[in-house]
Amino acid sequence: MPKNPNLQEPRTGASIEVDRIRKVYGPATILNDVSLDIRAGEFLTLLGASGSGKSTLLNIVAGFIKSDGGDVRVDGHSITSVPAHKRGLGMVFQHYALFPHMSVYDNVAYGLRRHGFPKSEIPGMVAEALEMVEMGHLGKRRPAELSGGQQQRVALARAVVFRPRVLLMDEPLGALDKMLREQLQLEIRRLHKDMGITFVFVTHDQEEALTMSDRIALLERGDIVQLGTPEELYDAPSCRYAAEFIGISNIFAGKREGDLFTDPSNQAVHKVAGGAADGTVLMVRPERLRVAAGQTTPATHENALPAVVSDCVYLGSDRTVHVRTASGDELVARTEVPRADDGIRPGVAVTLTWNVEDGRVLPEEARR
Amino acid sequence: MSLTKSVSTGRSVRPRARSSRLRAYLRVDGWGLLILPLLVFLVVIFVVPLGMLIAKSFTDPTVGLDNYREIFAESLYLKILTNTFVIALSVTAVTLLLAYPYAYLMTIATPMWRTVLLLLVLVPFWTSVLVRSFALVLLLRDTGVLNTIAQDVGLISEPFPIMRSMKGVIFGMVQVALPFAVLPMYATMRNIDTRLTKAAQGLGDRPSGAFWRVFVPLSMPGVAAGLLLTFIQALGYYITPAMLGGPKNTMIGELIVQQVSTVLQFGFAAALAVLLLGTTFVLLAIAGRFMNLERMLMGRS
Amino acid sequence: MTRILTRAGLILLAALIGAYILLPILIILPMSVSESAFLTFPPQGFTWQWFEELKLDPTWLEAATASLRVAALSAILSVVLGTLAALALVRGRFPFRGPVLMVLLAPLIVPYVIIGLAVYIAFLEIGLTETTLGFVLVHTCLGVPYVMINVCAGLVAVDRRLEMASMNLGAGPVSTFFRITLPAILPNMLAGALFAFITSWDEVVVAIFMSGPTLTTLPVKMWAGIRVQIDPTLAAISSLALLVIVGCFLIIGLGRLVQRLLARRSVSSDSTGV
Repeated sequence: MPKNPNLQEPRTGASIEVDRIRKVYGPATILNDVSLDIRAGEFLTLLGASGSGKSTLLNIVAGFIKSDGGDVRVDGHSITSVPAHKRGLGMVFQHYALFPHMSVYDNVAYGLRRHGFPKSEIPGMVAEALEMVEMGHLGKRRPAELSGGQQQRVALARAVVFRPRVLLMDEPLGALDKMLREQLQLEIRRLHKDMGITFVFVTHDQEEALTMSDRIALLERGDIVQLGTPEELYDAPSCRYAAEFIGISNIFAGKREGDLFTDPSNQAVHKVAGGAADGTVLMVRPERLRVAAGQTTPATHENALPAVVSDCVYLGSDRTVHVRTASGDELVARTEVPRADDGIRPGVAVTLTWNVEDGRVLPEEARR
Repeated sequence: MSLTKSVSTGRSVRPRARSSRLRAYLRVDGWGLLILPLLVFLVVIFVVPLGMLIAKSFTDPTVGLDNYREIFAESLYLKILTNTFVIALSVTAVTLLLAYPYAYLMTIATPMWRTVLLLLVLVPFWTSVLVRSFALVLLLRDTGVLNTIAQDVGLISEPFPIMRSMKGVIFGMVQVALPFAVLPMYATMRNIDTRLTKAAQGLGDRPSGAFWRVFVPLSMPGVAAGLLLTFIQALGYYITPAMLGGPKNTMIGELIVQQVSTVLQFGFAAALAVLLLGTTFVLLAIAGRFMNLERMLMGRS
Repeated sequence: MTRILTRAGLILLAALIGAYILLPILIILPMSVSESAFLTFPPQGFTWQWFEELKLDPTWLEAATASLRVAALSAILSVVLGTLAALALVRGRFPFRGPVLMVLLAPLIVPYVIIGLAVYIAFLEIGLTETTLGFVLVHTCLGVPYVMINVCAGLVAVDRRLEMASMNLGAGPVSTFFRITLPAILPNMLAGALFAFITSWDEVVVAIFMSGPTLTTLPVKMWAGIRVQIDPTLAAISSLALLVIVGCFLIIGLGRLVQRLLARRSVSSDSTGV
């Protein structure tokens, strides 16, 4: 999407303060006194599995669900008692929610008309918004005549045309196929850079979150388990759940004492550094594991573990090696494809090694 | 209006919990208030007159149970009551015999034919009962279509009286009753898993055996619903039996109209009506225990 | 073998039932143009004279206009009250749902003879018998359940997110209802209106109670005619009455067809296009 030089001076985004929001449905607690500070102009993703509360939180910010406790503030002003249609936050829904009985033009103009923009300005603003999403020539069409990707762009245009300072997105790409989804991910990211406003994005897809976000809030069953940049979530997950949710991880359960981590199921003791002082989980990312055929003794800066290869999967330039340890634990290593045959095949006994600092000790549960 | 209401956090003490639950039950929101126009309308135009009708049965011409006593005292009126039940029962029986195979055929038909069958059975539902009854007269009377054809073809030598007899009445009423029987039966049959009859056959049963031992019992709820609805409807028919029946086949509907139009005995007519109404409601209460009427009619419970 | 026999038997039975159902309707039309004054079968000759006779008798036209007026007004009132009630049932919360629903659906269950008698007794007291207003009031009771059933079905299918989107874009709840929800349930409302119209147009039992020298509806006039003497003009009027009903159903059918055609114009695959 080209940056439109006629766009008005980029409005700054608004900050959003979620202050101890609570939501209960009968016996179940959907949101457990959740607090979150969303910085002005950032792209923040609410990430979680279904049932984590991420959509509920977004809908509370949008005003469609009333919370049972806590406050939401936009730029410092509380909006908890403001009805949904007066909040002025842009929103994009999964399955687009375009009005089927109106043309694309009327869909985009709808918000402008409701907010009382002067009639003379509306055509121009609609045209700009549609140009921004490359849908300028389709103003007269009806939603039913558009493809899924086109409908999503129109939904975006409709949400941003009246220049909100916040854009909320509730799994907007969930209904699209992979290629289209990746294309739109990049376009949404570019839209964010061009507009400079605050984006709050909800998804269950961790790859999507890692690609698009400035920061990610990972939710699990009503609590924020970790809040940080994609790098932080990947390299330094806060707990076992975060480690397992983001990317692929190799997990060892055990106990830490000082610099050593006992791994009872593999009857091994690993050297560790940093991380949680009383952590019970040791995590190593697949790309940090090295695989060598046969037995090797580890150097002082390494840990080692014997295993047997169960599968080798080639993905172009990457090779994924699945191994099984003597105790039956299944681990995954990712290496480059070797120039020469290094003897790693299913059934071969190998030794896994990793640098001490690549292993991270985590608590079982995040500190709240 | 918010689309969801918050639930009060249950930190209440016993006695307050009860009153708050009562308050929650009595809660009315903006959308809920919209029920009032129709509700008030129906109460005024429908419920109140019914109440007046019931009252009149006990007050006109004298206060008391005289009207009811008269119904059960006169053999003529008792005969009409029994007639009504017998005819309604016969209609129900004949309808069941026709509706069951028709509904079954609907389940095994291709989608196009299924729609055709459905529209066909709904035709009497939507064409004027008067036009149809008139046409039936033309069909069934001694100089009517059926008799003429039968005589021309040589089946019979002289007109076969169908009108003014129970046969004629049943012939006419079954038409109207069919949709009420077919639809619930079809709805139930449609949900029977076809694999069950196949399983029965796999276990050694013949196809006809599987049908009788597996399919038929499973279709019973629909059959019961259909029968009940048909019977309830048949009790209250007026036009068709009046047009096609003779003096020996008078049903309660015709008696009510006659009492009002010819003899101006409103109280007596009211008592008859109350009897019919009471029977209808009792039958409906029985039906209500076995079916969820709201879900059937409106697609949601 | 038995399978084929049973299949054939079933089809034969269905065909017989079909003939049984359609026969009355099918013979009315030829009878209405037959020259025979005694409606003998088979119909002889071809003539429009019975329709001419109808035209000459002003009371038929009066009755027909009265029926039309009552049916149209009942349909309108039914749609208004029925749609409001459907909204309350699907979207709203109120106590005593069970009893309320019983009252709302009662006109479908209570025999028309009883409704006719009850309303007649009540309206007699306040002088509403033989008036258009009285007719409209009671026929609305009869037609409203059909509107409710149709509109409820439509409401349940409305995508709530459209309303959320509308509110998010600044339209309040009332504005959202008129701009977004109402257009979505309009087809259901129209179907309900047509059903209410038809219900009133050929309603005869309650009309018998409510009719009199001042105001009579078409079905009642036909009924009186039939009781007195079987007459070809009755066949003619029956054909006309049938045509009105068939016309209504054609409208509903065409409406659904048009809807389906419009929906099919959507582009199929999500992965094509920009």
